[in-house]
Amino acid sequence: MTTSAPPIAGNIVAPRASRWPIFGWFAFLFLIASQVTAIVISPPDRDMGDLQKIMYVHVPAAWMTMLAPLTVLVFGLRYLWKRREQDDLLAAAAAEVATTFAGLTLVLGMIWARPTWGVWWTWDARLTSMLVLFLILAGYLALRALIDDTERRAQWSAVVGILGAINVPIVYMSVRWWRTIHQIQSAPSTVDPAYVIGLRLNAFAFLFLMIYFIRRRYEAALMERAAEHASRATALGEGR
Amino acid sequence: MTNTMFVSAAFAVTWVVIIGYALHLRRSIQRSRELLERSTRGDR
Repeated sequence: MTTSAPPIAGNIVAPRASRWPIFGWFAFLFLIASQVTAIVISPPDRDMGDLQKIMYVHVPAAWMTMLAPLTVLVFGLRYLWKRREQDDLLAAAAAEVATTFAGLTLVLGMIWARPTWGVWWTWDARLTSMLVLFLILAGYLALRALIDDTERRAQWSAVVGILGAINVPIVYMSVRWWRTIHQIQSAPSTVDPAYVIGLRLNAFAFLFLMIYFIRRRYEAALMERAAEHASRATALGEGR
Repeated sequence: MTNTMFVSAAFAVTWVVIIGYALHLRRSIQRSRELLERSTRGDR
């Protein structure tokens, strides 16, 4: 946007031109550099060979899938407390990004499972709880598409967002609470030092991307809502 | 399928999703911006 003063409609202020696209390019380039570094410096795993390299995309995607619903929770609760439309829009933006990362995590897990476990899918506790999280997030988005009343939509969304966030610790702990064929949580403490740098770099790259995606989705939602307010104000003005 | 094919598939899927979502966002922002400009001008 080139305007110096952003349009205001209702209590929503449409975002100004921002430096976020530059941050987006930084995140993309950082991801490319992280992936190349991880692939080049990490030796093949003793058991899995090169399949281990899937870790650099699967694990960061899974971490973002657990982090984004916490954003949905925080801003959903904040909406219920303060009733600010912006909080609802930010929660919705995080939910859409979380759904994308959840879908990606599931597909990458299947690609990794086939050569290591011999099956694309099994009803293992980790896989099933992650699928449930994906379905709750998809349900959140479906719910928003079905309810027209903005206040009711925001309230129900916040409730579903809380449900989704409750599932996050279940996903995380599932590998310890139940007998599963999925390995325990991947963390620098559970991964061979040869793979830690690659994992950390890619985790930061995914984090930057997630922040960028949520922010940009939020900007689009803000403009959409400001447009709704402006149209309503115009219609009311003409009706008088 | 060899291990290399599975690894390549994983990285390819990742980039398809990331670029696909980035393009979806770009379209959403453009659409919202046009909608806002029209509504603040009072167009229908």
